Amino acid sequence: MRAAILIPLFPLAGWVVNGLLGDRWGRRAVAWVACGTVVAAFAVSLAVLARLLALPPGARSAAVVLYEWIGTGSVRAPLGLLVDPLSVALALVVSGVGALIHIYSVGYMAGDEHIARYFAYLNLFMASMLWLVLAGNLVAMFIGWEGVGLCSYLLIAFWFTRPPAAAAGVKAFLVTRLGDVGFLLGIFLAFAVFGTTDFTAMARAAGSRLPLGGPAATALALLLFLGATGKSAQLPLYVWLPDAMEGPTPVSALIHAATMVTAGVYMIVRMHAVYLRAPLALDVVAIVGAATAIFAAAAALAEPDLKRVLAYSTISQLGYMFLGVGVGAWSDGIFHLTSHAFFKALLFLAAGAVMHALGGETDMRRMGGLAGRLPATAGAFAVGALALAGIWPFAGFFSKEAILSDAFRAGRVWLWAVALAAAGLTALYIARAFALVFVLPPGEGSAGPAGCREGDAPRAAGHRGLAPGAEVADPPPVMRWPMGALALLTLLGGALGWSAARPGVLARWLGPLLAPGALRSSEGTHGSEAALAAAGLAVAVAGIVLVWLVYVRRALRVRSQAVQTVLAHRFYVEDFYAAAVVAPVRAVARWAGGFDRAVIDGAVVGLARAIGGGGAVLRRLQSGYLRHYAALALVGVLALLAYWMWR
Amino acid sequence: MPGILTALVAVPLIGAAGVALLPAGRVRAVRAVGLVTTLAALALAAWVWARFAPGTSGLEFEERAAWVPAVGIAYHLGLDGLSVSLVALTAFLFPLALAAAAGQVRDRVKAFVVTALLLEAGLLGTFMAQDLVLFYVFWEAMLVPMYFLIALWGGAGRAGAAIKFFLYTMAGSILMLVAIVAVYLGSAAGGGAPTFDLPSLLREPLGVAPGVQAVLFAAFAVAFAIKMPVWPLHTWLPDAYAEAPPVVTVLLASLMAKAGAYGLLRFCLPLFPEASRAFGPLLSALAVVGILYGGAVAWAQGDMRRLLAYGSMSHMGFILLGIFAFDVPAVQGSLIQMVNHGVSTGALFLLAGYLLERTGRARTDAYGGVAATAPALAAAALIVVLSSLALPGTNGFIGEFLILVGTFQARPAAAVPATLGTVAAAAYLLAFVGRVFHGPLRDDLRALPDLRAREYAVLVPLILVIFWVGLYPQPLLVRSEATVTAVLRRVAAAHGPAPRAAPAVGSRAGGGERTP
Amino acid sequence: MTWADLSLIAPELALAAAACAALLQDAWATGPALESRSRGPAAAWIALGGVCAALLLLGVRPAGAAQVGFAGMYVRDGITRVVDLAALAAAGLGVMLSPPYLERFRLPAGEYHALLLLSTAGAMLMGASRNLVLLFLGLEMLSFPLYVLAALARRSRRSQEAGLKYLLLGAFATAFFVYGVALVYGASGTADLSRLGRAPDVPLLHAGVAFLVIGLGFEAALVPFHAWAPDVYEGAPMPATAFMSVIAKVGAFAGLLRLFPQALPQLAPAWGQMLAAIAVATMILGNLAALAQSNVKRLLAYSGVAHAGYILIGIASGGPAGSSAVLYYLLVYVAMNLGAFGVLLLLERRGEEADRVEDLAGLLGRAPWAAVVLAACMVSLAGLPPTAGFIAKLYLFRAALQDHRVALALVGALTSVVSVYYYLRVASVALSAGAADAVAVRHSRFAGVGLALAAAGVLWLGIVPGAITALVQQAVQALR
Repeated sequence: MRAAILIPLFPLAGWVVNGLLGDRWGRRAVAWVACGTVVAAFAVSLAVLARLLALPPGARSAAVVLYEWIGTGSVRAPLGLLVDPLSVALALVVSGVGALIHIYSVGYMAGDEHIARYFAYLNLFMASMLWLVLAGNLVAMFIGWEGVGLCSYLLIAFWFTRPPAAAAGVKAFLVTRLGDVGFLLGIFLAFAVFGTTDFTAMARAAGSRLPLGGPAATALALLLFLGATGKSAQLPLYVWLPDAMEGPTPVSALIHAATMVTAGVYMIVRMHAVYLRAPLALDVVAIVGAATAIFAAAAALAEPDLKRVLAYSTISQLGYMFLGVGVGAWSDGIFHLTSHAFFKALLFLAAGAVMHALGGETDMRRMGGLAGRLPATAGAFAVGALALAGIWPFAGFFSKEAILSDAFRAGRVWLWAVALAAAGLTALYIARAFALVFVLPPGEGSAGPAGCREGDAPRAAGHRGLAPGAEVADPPPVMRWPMGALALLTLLGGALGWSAARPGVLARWLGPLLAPGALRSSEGTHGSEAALAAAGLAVAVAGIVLVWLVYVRRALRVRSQAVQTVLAHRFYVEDFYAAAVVAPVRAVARWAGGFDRAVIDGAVVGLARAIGGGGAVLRRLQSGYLRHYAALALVGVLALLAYWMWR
Repeated sequence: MPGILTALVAVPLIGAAGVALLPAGRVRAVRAVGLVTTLAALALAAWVWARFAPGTSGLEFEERAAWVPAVGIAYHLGLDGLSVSLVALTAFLFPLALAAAAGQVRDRVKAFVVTALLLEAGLLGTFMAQDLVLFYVFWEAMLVPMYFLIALWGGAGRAGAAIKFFLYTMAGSILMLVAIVAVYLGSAAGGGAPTFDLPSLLREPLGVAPGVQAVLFAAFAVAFAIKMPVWPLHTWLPDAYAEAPPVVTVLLASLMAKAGAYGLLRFCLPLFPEASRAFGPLLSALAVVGILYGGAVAWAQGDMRRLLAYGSMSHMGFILLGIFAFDVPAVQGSLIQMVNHGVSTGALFLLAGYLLERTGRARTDAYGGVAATAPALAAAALIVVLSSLALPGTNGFIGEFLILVGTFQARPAAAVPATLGTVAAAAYLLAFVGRVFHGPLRDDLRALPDLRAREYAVLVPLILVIFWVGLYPQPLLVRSEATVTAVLRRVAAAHGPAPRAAPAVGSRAGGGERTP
Repeated sequence: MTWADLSLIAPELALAAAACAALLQDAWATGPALESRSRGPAAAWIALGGVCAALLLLGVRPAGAAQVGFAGMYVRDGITRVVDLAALAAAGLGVMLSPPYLERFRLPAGEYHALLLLSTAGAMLMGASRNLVLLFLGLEMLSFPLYVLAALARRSRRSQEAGLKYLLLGAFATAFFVYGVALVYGASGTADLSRLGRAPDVPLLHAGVAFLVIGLGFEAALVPFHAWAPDVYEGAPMPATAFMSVIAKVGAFAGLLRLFPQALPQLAPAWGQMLAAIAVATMILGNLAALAQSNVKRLLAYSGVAHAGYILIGIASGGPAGSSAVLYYLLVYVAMNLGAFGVLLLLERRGEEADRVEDLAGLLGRAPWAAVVLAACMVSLAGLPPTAGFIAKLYLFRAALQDHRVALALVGALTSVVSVYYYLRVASVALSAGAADAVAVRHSRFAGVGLALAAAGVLWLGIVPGAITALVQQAVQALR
């Protein structure tokens, strides 16, 4: 099992090599190193999987301690891995999807002169993410947790000379770090409660150390969840993710769809033993998840920017995952995480192919009718969109249905209803996006004055948007193949979670780890499950039909200015933050700066001035006249005499 | 090797004398002698650090000689867990600073090198002195060269900044001197001869009334607090940091600030345990205020040196917080954070110096897109910034994590807002990166040169330490653990109900056992 | 008067003899001319010979018990020895540092050296006084040559004015002193200091003591009897200023030491409080006033006032600790103050004294060692380690706290912080870049050696003070 350390180490080595030497090598060498290390990580993950499979289900967990990292007093945190079904499953997803996106990037970033830096960051991200999922304790996990945040920052701001990109990177870092305060406090609390943050030890001791529903368990669970809301872009800390689309599209696919943003879900599943002791916290998780799911889906409805639609979609889908884990459906949460990784990465890559063809254009109002000119891209996008919308037999159908039925069967009917409504909206926005980009004739979306555009990369031709008669073509094979592979995974991924008799493959694989104590009330039957699935499917189909009616057939017209305005401003959340958080903090900082100079320093300088002023006054006493001096001495004489006489 | 600590102080002095005898015109020779001297001191310090035996709380390499026997002042040097790494840090940073100075100080080089070497001797002595008067001598002896370094080689406002720095810090330390004398007289209360010797003073409780102890503690603590600096005694800092030549700011922020924190641990806690406990909550509160206030003010600064200055103050708040948590991990965190802050803040100011050297601009909005023209400089800055904002895997995380986790056990009310300070650090540091290195490349910066070989030579060791401590901090932690435990036991055992740390410290005394 | 008596005052006699020789040499060299012509080193060598002889005579004397002579008026004990040492050091440095100045400004060297030596002898007598009459004699012998020295630059109106002011105010103060002697004698029936301890506690004695303080306080420049100092310091020729700034303190504080801790311990609470109040006023006024000065001589004058306040802490605290602190401080003060003046004596601005702070600019470039010595002396005057000024202040604080005079220690400490402002300003100007073109630096081997000795003293007393601290502790053993 010690070989598992190679999984993060390979990309790390890629980072070091490309970071130090990449600028001197050719692009090909850089690309080979970058992709090779990730593929190697995937291969090692497969090997570790094989090793685990060879073991009996109950023994598939191994701790690999590298060395004592932090150790003083009562605080001990070894640098160690936990190799078990959960971490290996995640490592496979991460390294697999990651490898595909690396390969895609070779084509996508072909025109960029900073490709070495790009791949170095991407490799560092892979290393951090793989470390995150493999880490054996919370503190070690925090390395990866912050590492992926760092890489997210670096890659969002990859085109750092563009102010929006630089600003978006900082925003992402700061907002997630705000969540990480919760995560850190959670670690501290874990130390206080358990004396360790080792996952296995905590899981074992959770029952005895944490009273069910007690304040310690609830606080710990909620603090960690705060970290998750930041990293996984949940309400109220989701605001960084739409802006994160300033980064290159493969980055959005990898980090802001498939892997990093799911870290929160993974963390909760990893810590499920603690969450099981805190039902209140689990409810919070589920409610936040459901609320985020419908909120973000609604926000995606009016979004003109293709990538931002996908970003809101990601937020919404992450909400589903939290809803799933919030009702105790650990393995279904992971299932949706996995299938979402496939289809959302696919959607992003397809979107990237569109942008690649259009010189970086991301404004859907400047697109249209591309289905004929970009058939492969359109096909890939369609597969992803159908999976996202939850159409059978794509992976998204199975994973979403699993969560919906879990929520229903856990007795959270309200949450189920919300999630179902969100599913309808999901179908609606993704179908609208597909229609705008690929189906409708150009210009249908009433193009705005200024389009959205990705990057200043010297990629593709000088034109932007869809100029009449311009050369628009499907991407080169190096980009097409990863899309194909992801499309295939999207098509087949449902098999992971679904089989004739649930639990599915994934659930059985994770079973020994997660089985104890899932919350569901076991009233569900096959019959009701079929009904639930039908409901979900119906809602999704209804959404698509609606889009068809509104946009394609123009049979319906939505005429509600108020709703449109609210949607266009995404419910004014960002405006609220700007007014209620950012502006006051800025004002306080500026005020403190002035206060520091005027009051605190003023007091010091004032004291010095007063002393100096005293000196100046005394100087004036020195008149130079003898009589004054004699008088002064005489005063002294009298004073002394007086002292001695009346002492 | 007997006398090695004396040698450590003597080497810079001898080097200074050697430089002083060189003709002023031979700049290269002057620089070379200075560099060789600091490297020799580094070699000695490295040897001492390597040979330092972890696990004992007492002094090692002790040297003692009568100095002014008539009043019981002794020449007493020694190292323990509190100081061994700081001595190494001092010796480590000086060659780098002198190397960096070669590009920045071109005027009166000989005097500069001499003064810097005197400063090194003062700093090393401060960390090794075990006699109160000897400590004070070194303490002020480092102040004088620092004053001249700022006043003679600083920027436009150097005279005012230097004298403000000096008067402010001296106002604190002179009161400490009075308190030192009072401690000395108090040590005779039991009937013995009064002494300035720290180990002798610690042998039995000080014979002063509790109220007096509080006053003496305050006198010591104020002196150290000004040096760190602790809010609200900090306003000398932005001026001094901004006006000093950049390499001097490195020494100021990296080493001199540490002397303050070190003093708290070395003197305040052991000498005045009850008062330390009584003042603990207040100082923790000041630490939290300093962390958040420093962060906020840093964010609002337009001058990058002032930004980093307030940031440095914010980070020193963490160190103070850890010290007064009276918890082994927290104090250990503070100690390791002293080293980390020295390396990271030092590197930040070095980088600021490199930028200033290239453009002469101090305001961040006079930059933009520097990463496009100087990628290596930007990469180095990013690494240092990340270590400064405590990214796991870098040194800064180890320190802040230990401080916060320890404080959380002892004073959760202080730890929670302090943890928010990590967000503040990210805010102002990334704002710094964003304003200087990101954004559209300004036309007048297109010719900005990237790092030169000499600058690599200075930065690479710092970056290596950043990662080394971040990934494998145990060598530092084990060296200080026993001493920290002993100091805290002293604080806890003074009398009365001990704070939370007490039972934990006791149970940990057996040595590194994992608690369940 | 016996031979034993004469051998007792051999050091003073040596100085007096040298003074006479210097005068005679001057007269011989000048001949019938109106102006003194003796500017060569001859007078300086004679004076130096006298100082060295006195030092030797001091050194050969066994360090044993106190010897008393002249019918109990003169005592040669540990205190005498340290005071003599300080006075002779002042004289020696004063002689060595002045030749460049005397030559450049055409001052009569013979008179200068003779007066200097006589004044030194006066200070030594004050240190050896065991009787109020001898104390008075010493005081006069100290101050009269100083009046003349202040007016030595005959063509300078400022110098004349300084001499006259000094003389008139000095007479004013001395009158009080004499009256004080009379009152004390009237109250106790004796002028013998060793018997004052048994004097009856009557108001007459108190009034006498108050008047004595005035005479000595004037010479030491204690507030409010300090007003002469800035004007006289500024107006007098710089070598005279330099010398008087230290010798007057040595004499006056020796007198105070003899008078209060030694002779009147029974009144310690009363005079302790009075002197403490004077010390506080002196430290505050001296330091604050020095802040605003741009003339180095005036600055050092006020600094001298401030230091008088510091030294008075030791007297006010009394006892062995306070007395030894005073003695140590006097030695240190001689070295650091004369070192500082010595550097100024090398400078000249267009035929005038270079006594403005900015005249020092760029000194490091032109006379690096002088600049370093000046900086070291300033650091020492500010009381910072590792120089002698620090150890001296440490001693004072120790004495004050031992006597539970916390306020004294605190005022002393905080005013030291204030003093740093002006001392370091001088030092940093001297070490700064750029040069005042109008200022010329004169090089002189004689003065160089003097500066080296002063700097060595400043560092030696700061870094390895053990021997001297032992000496002063031993000197005050006789005190309770």
